Parts: sequence; structure tokens; C-alpha cells
Amino acid sequence: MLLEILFGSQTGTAEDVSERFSCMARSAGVQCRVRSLNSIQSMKDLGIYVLFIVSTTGDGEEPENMRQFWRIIMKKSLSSVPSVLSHIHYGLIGLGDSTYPKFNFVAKKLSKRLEQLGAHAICEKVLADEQHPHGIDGCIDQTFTKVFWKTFGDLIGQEFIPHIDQCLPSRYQIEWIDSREKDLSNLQSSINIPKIPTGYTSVPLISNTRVTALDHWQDVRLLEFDTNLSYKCGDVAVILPQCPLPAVHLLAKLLNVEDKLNHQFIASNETSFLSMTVLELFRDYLHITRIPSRSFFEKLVWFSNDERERERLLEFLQPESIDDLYAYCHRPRRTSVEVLQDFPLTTSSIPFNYVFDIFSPIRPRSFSIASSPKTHQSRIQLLVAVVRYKTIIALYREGLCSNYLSRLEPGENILMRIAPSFNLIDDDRPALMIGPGTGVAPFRGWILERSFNNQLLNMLFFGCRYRTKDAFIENDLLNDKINLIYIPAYSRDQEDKIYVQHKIIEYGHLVWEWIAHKQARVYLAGNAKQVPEQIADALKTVFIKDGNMTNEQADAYLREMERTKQFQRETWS
Amino acid sequence: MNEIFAHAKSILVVWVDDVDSEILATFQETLQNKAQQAHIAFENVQKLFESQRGTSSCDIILFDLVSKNDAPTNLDLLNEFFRLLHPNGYLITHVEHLKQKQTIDHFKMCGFSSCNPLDANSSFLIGNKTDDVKRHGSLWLCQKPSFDIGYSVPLRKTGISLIRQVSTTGGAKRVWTLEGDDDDDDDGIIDTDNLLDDNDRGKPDVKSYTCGTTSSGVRKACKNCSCGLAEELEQEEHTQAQQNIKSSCGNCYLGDAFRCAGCPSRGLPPFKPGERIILPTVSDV
Repeated sequence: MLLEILFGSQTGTAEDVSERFSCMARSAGVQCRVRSLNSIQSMKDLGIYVLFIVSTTGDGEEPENMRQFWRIIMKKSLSSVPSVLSHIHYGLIGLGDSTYPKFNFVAKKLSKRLEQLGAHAICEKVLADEQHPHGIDGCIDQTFTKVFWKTFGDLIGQEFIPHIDQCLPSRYQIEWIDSREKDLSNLQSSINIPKIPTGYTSVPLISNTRVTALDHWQDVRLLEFDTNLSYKCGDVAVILPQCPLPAVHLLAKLLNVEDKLNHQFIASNETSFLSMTVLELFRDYLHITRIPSRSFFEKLVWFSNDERERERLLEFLQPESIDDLYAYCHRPRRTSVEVLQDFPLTTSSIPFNYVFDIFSPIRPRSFSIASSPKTHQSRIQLLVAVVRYKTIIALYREGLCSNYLSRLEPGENILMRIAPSFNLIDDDRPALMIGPGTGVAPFRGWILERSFNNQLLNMLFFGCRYRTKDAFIENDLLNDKINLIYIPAYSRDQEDKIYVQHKIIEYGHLVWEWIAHKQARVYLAGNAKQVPEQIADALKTVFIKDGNMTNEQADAYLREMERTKQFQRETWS
Repeated sequence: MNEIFAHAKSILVVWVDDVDSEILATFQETLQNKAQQAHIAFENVQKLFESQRGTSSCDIILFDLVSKNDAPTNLDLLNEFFRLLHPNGYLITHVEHLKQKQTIDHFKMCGFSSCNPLDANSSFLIGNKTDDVKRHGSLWLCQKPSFDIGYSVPLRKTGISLIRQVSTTGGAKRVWTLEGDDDDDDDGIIDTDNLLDDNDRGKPDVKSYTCGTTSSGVRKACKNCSCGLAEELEQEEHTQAQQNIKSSCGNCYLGDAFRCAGCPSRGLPPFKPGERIILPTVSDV
């Protein structure tokens, strides 16, 4: 009997939850297999007992590593075989954030579809919410975990009692490469060659310039890289960041491997093999500054031999004290290394190979490219808002990738690859762009390119807080050579907050003229939380006021625009 | 304009009301001169729907150019014209200025992607219109989009019914036919939005989350706080911290995991008993 744990994870959260349930399963003697949903090639691959763990990302979309699966399970032809999955018993965990309009849409849709296709739910699904005071794990444990294991056990005729303090075998075995044994020159060359993951290129930085005023709290940078990587406007640069060195050294100290920082090792198991130095492991491979999930604490219990530390860890893991755990760790955004720092005795007993079990790999981050290959030969430019803020913890909380980029000096190299993202259609139709904040990035390069090609009709609605502090786009786009109708919204330059949606309505007659009579294509780039809804509302208001439509007609018109790709949006969460 | 007619193979002239057969014949002659390759068919608008002409069978449709006045279009009619036209085909009709806005919108809603007024060179088309009518209206040329963004993609159910709802004539015959399902197509997935009902679209009530213990609706800044709330909260925390100076548990030297809520060392890493760490709280990076 095998429990298939299948996840769709964009930022690693769903993967974490899978890992946690896998540990629970294994500690109770249940065989299980954890894979991403894209490993499923056909319905036959699903097995009989399945635990689905799926996130919702972007604007109600499924994560990339389940996109292929989505196309398989949502295939029209399956609908005509309603009992095709009637042999399957499944649990479903949905991960989402209720501040977004399409809360847990992926889990909801999957649930309905599974029902349609005859699969049997082991127990009621859970739609976990980041906004729950105890976050995702809190939600799941409150309504799902116990019920799932109990009912699953009943189904199989076995009693499942997960043991949280049972140490499970480590993911990898470690072998140290002794420099005396191997040929020294071989070793030297393998240490000196930078390890570049497949698909990535090492790209040097040319300049790193702050484009917001120094007295403004937000730090936005324009970064310029020297590269011949081919791209088009609308593409994103996918970047692999590094962890900050102070954290790397702190971790090495806590694990007593400071003297091994430059030692090479091989980590291997039945299916894979890695080789690098300890420094590279902590800096380039593992996300050691990630905010730990619940399972991080559960695994620390495996190694804690000091009474006080062990007691505190077990306390934190009690269901009644879950709020304490969240107040300690998640709300102040305490990093994994900082937690280990508070539990030094436990940490020093962690065998080195278990670092692969308690930390997860660094995930790449995407940034819209803000330049154009036509106007910026051999260059890629990015606009990056640096995420840095304070909580009760003395040291600033810093976004991993934005801060990594902010620290870069000219001449330093980063790992980058290009991926398609926004489909900016290159034709003669006018372009009406809406890009508040750093959302404007893809439009910056595109407007320059369109001016270069003499495509005359470009309109940009840009929003920021203060004209003098963060209207960073104006330097680049406001000059005689650029064909642009520029309509800014400075939200805090007056008593009333004015945002791009207000400007769209204010200039409704112009917007309507462009959309209805000039067949302008409308593009929106911004944060998925509220921007898309507000802009959709603003556009519909224009259709009603300037296009003389009723509510229903305006709705239909906007939907038709989306269907024919006359309105496209790129939003991120 | 001349080119459009020169290349056309099939033209449909849709006429309205009683029109003198002589006038129709003259019009046909004029047209045939311009469109030497074309087969020209005539149909009265009342019979159009009954006739159920073939889908994508016309290169050009001329609507109500022959009569003196301008007959208004409606969505059902436009939908039918759209169906009858080849991709990239043209619809030409004379539109009263007063009705222009709405008519153009209707063109758009029915899928015509390129609508432009025509200039005086096309006046051969409206030779029969009165001067008054000509002055108060314009000839419009609308084009049906080409294959990949237009009609040939099977329409989603919701798309069709919406257009029908807005239709102004009741009892019209079904004007849309789905040209077979593309089941074997790569793109043959269901419309997943249809899986959700109104209940699904709702969001949970955050206030209803029970948490068992002391959480009290704390204002939390998002991970990538870009609105400034994180900075505000920082200020609040800072003022609060400055007010707590007395230690009550004696565990200050241990990390935050062991400190009590009022600990003056809160936020600092653990240190050796007796020693104090001064950390820069404001980084100069």
C-alpha cells in the first residue's frame, strides 16, 4: 500500500506541507512517495491513495509544476467518462491567501473536478489560508490532519499514529573529499569552476543605481547587466540569489563546520548526486534564511538532547501553544538560522547530512525585464524594489533576492536565465498600458522600443506615491524622442489618494476612443492583490460612462476584450 | 477599396424593404464592374435567417446600401453577417452619425476587429441614398479577423449566451453553430471557471478563524510590504520596546525562544550571561 503525496507548489510552501505529511506517514510506518503533480503523465499514474496538496498563485492560477497535470485532468474528453477515477481515495489540501480575490481557486476547481470524475474524498478538504493567525500549518492542523489520518486508517484497517520525535533517515549520505587523496589539480579546477545549474548563464553587472529619492523609505534600483542572452519585451529574467554571508558564517559556526567551509563533499542517494563545498551549500544551494515551517521545529526535536531546549521545542509544537510558536517565529519573520541560534545545543548535535532535510533549496525569482533588446544592445535592465523592513527582531528583515541584487557591485556575476511571461503584441495597434509602481518595468523597455520603431500611439498610466520621490519612470520616458501620452497618479501628493484607476476614469473619453475606435490593446502589470479588480472596475466605468453601456454590456465587453487578447494582464503575488 | 472588390470571389448584397428591381439590377452591374471575379448574390434581410447560408461563404457583405435611407443594424443581424463572412472578409454598411457610437460597439461585440469609415471614393456604393442621408452618415468598412483570433476557435458557452442576452430581437433563430468540438486538440480542456459556483467564489471570514489562544487581530505587514505599513509597525514596536526596561524572568541571555514578553533583550540574539550585545538596529547598508 502506497500513499502518493502529490503537490503543486510555486514558492515551496505546498512542497513543505508535502514533506511534513510524508514525515508523519513514514513515522507511522506508512510507505509514501512525494512528487510534484507534473510527474503524472496520465490518470493511471495516480495510484489508489492520493494526498493532493495544491497552491493557488498569481491571479487564481495553478503553480507551474502542476500545469501539465491540469491539462490532463481538465481535458474535455475525460468528462465523458464520469467514473474514470472511481478507484481513487484522496485527501485534498488547498493553500491560499484570502486577501487575494481568487482565494484557493485551484483547490476548489480540483475538488469539483475530482468529484465529477468519481473519485472518493477520504475526508473534507481544507482550504488553508495565510491570513489565519497561525498561517497555513495552523489551518491544516486545526481542521484536517487528525481527521485525515484517522479516516485513512479506518479505510485501510490500520491505526496510524504519527510520531513526531522519531528521527527518520536522512535524505542524503555525505562523503567528504579529502584533498590529499585526490589529484590536487583536479580538485582545484573543480572548486574554481563556478557550478552553473542547467539553463542558467553567468552574467556580469554593469551598474546598480538607486532611482528613488534618498529620503524616500522605498529603495528601488535600476540594475544593468552585460549579456547577449536573447530576449524580447515582456520576458522575465529568472535569477538565482545567494544567501548573505553573515548568515552563512553564523550557520557554519552553529553546526561546528567553520573549518570545513572550503571542503568539498559529495551528497548522494539512490536517485541523485550533488557535489560542492560547504560554503557553496549554505550560500548558493540551501535557503538558510527562510522562515522555517512547522516541520523544521518537528525535526529539531529529533536532535535535541538538552533538556531546556527540548522542552521548549515540544512546548512550541503543542496544539494549545501554536500561537506562541507563531508569535515567536512567523509573525516577526524569524529566519531558520536565527531559530537555530536560539537553540545552540540542539543545533550542534545535528549531523551534517541532515542539513538537506531541515533546509530547502533556494528558489529562483523572476523580474520583468525593463529594457528592450532594440534600444539597449547587449544589455538587460531590471527595476527592483528592495524589500527591507523591521519587526521586533533587532536586525532588519530582508527579501532574499531583492537584497542580494541590491548588494551587487559592478563586475560581480549573477546566475540568470530568460523566460517568456507577458505577451506584448508587436503590431501597429495602439498600446494602452497600466503599470503602477514597479509594474511599469516591462512597459519601460517596450515604450522605448515602440518609439524607436515609430509606433506612434502609446499611452501609459503610471502610479507612485510622490512625484519628487518615486516617479522613477519619468527620467527615462519623458522626452521629445519618445512617443508617449503619459498620465501619472501621485497617490500622496494631495490629501485625497489618487491612484491609476482614478486617472483611467478621469481620462475615460480618451481611453474609450482608443479602445473602441482605434482598437488599442490594453495591458496591465501589477500586484495581483487588488490592482486587477480595481482596474477592471475602472475600465467598466469608462465603458458605461463614455461607451454608453449598461452594467451587463460593460461586463461582456471587457470579457470579450480578454477573450480576443485585446486586454491582457500580468500580475504577481 | 477597389482592390477589395477586385479580389472578391463572392459578394452578398443584403437589401431592406421593397426596392425596385431595376435599381437592384443597376447596382449589380456597377458592382460586377468593380468585382469582375465575384459571384454576386442578393438577399432580402427578412429571408436572410431562413436561408441559412453557408458559414464562411462570403468575401464581402453589403448591407442596406441600395435603399434611400439607412436601416439600423442589430446584434442578431451582425452576428449572422459575421458567421457568413470568410475570415478577413468585409462588411460594408452606411451608418447614421447619431447611431454611430452604438453601431460601432455592436460591430466590436460581434467580433469585427477592424472598423473604419470609408472615404468618398467608395461613393459608387451609395449612389441611391438621398443627399440628406449621405450628409448625416458615413460608410463603414468592418473586417472579420483572421483565423487565429476569430471565429474558427470554438466559442465558450458563456461567450455565446452573453451575446444572445444583449440581442434586441426576440425569437431569432440560432445564429451560432459550433463547428464541432476540438476534442483531439491540444487545447481541449474544459472551462474550469464553470466548475465554481457562487459559494466557491466567496472568501472566508478572517475574523471567524479561531485560534485558541491570545492572538488579537494583529495588524500584520505583508511579506513584500510596499505600502509602508511595515515601517509604521516598526515605529510602534520600537516605542514599545523602549518602554520595557525591567527584566522579570532572568532568562535574558537565552534567545527570544526563552525570553518573556517584557524582556529588554527581546529581538537580540542569545549572549553569555553578564555580557551584552549591542547590535546595530539601523543598518547602514
